[in-house]
Amino acid sequence: MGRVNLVFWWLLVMLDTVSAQTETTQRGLPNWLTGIVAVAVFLFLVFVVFLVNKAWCSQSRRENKQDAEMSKEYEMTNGSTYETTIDAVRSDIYENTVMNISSDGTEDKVTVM
Amino acid sequence: MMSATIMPTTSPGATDKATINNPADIAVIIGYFVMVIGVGVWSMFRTNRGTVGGYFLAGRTMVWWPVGASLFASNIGSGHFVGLAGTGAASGIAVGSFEWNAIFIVLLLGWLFVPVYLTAGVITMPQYLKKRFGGSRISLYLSIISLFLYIFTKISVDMFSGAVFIQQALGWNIYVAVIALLSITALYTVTGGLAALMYTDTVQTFVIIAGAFVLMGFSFHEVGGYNALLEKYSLAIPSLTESMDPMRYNISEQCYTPRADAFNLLRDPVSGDLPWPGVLLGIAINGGWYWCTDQVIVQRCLAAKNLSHVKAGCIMCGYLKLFPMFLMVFPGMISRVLYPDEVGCVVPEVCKQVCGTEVGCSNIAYPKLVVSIMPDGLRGLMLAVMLAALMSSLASIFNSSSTLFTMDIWTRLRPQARDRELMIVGRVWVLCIVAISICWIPVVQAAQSGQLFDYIQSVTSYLAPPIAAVFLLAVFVKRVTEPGAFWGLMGGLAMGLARLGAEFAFGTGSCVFPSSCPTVVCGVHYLYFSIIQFFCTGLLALFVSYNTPPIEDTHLHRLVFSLRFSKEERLDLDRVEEEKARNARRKAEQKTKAIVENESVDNPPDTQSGLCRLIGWFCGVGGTQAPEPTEEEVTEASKQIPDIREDPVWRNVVDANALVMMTVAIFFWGYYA
Repeated sequence: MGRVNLVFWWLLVMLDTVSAQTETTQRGLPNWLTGIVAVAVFLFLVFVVFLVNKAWCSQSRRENKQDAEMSKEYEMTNGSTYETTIDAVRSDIYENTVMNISSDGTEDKVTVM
Repeated sequence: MMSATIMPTTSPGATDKATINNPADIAVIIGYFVMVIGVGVWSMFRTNRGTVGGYFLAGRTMVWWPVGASLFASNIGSGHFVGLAGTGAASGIAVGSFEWNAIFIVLLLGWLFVPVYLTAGVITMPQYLKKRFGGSRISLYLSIISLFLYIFTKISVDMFSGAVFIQQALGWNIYVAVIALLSITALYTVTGGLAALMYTDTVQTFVIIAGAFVLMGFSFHEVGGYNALLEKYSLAIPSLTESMDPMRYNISEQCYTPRADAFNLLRDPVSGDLPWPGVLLGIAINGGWYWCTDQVIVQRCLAAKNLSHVKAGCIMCGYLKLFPMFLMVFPGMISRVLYPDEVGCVVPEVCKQVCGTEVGCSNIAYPKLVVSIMPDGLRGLMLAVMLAALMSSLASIFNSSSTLFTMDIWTRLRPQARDRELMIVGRVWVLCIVAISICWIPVVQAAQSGQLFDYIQSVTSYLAPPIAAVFLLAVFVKRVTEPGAFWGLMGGLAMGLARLGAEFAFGTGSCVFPSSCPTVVCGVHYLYFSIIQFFCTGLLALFVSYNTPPIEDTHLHRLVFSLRFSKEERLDLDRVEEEKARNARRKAEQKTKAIVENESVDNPPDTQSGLCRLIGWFCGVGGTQAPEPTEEEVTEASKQIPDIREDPVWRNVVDANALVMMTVAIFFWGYYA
């Protein structure tokens, strides 16, 4: 962090001396403003890349997870395709609710012998 | 106060300069040496130097701050002090873009390249190429050209700059000074290995930054402040500008007038001395070779504990790289403002009298400041700073070239060499390269050019881009094959040698005596040439690769960026060669065991003489040699994949820090653009 402080101290020194610079008026834009514009452009680009990364990667990750779940369930249930994970019965419309599947008729009745 | 004195390039002996002969200066210098040697000795006890991993990679136990400090200290040599300041004096701040460009390249190193190198499990860069492509010609070419580049660019330049400084400040005989320096450097390189280097580099970094800050403070005070520098630099014109021999040459005004764009980093693409497309892209390519593919720098990253420490070290190095612009370039410009007749001399006869070379005297910018404006005691500190920079860079280069020679060239000549022999060979090679460096001094002196930094950069620009291109393709493009990489390298080398040959044949010339090299060959700026060479090599490599059968994925697991997390077993392309080498080592081991048994039957083993044991301990060899693993053990070991996963908390901390650093760097780029 000391290094960042040093950098900010330098920044302040430069801001101080800008007022006396005569050459910069020829360029139209004072030095520190060019610097800040460059930083703003850079942060904007980083933000865009971050959004693109999130959107694109999360989509492929969701696809991968679904595929993995499908194949895992297939292995665990010995070929039967009963859906037993909670995700399958989680309701999309209402939060924190699950669908009542007792009426689906897919449960086996186990009777005590 | 300081009259123009003759610089004794060929005659020894001190002149009546302000030399370092008072108790304060001498105390500071002795204190510095004691500290460095102390740290070196301490680190000798801390790590095991008897194994290949311990000697060349510090046992892979380094945390982030020695890594970062070592990256910085290995990079900043006396060549930077003399070269950056000198070129800054001659042409303004654009030379600082070399440093500020490196900030981004060092991030590429930590995030893109080191994960692949770590998970590949290699020690040297030619070894990586051997595993990636198979065959041995690429790795042999890379070893040889790396050693060549070390000797002719890094070592010679650093020694020459150190010599310039020592002669200006101390007036010592150049050979005495250089031999003394090299001996001390060789001493702690040979004994301690990489661990000693990295810890002493941390000390050197502190000394370099502290001392250079002090000098910067004094220089700004002397010139009257930052604004005063901005105003006075354009008025720093020498008083003697008339040609002394109008029949031979005429001096045009632009040769001695400071540049109008002296305070711009980005200059005109056609007429500028550092055109901005070259600055942005060409320096990135050269930087890509230096930071991401060169043994000296990468070896320090490979010595780290884990990937987060590598990244943190790279960030620290990046922050430190912000400083050279203010610590070296600005003082160089101040030197020209304060001493325009010496630093800014333009008439060849005057220059020869001032600093011994007709081309120009901008190289003496920094030493002149040290000698003239620093008070007693602090002059000793500045000498310590220069020594720190010189010794840290040279030591790193010695160690890495020893690694290259031992692991790539010696093991090819003698595959049956075991750890102990490799250690000894490594240390002997350091001594050899010291001798070569000393022999190279007169050559560099004779070829004294006015702008030292330009010389390094241009030679590097002609030889490095093909290597950067091939490494980039090797890491990111699976389709590239061995013939593609090899012919790409050869094509790039041919281009580079053509341009290098032309420049050396016609001479680089100066403003007063322009070179007669035809524009078609020498008119293209060396940074543009880098860019062209880079893309030509890449295209050639891709073209040849697509016409040859591809390398299967089974050979590429954990050798390319896209497969860096793969856990599958890899069929090494060099496994046949490796197996032969292991068999040879096993045979050698059995032979020595048989000999020892026979001897012990005849007579009891003598104890080693005291001297042998002392040398053995000093050099770190002499421990019991580990037995060569059997084939089963080797396959088991290869299943232990080096881990490059990171703790997510630290990964986010490090990534955030990198973003902050890039933001700061971009602000400064925008400010001085």
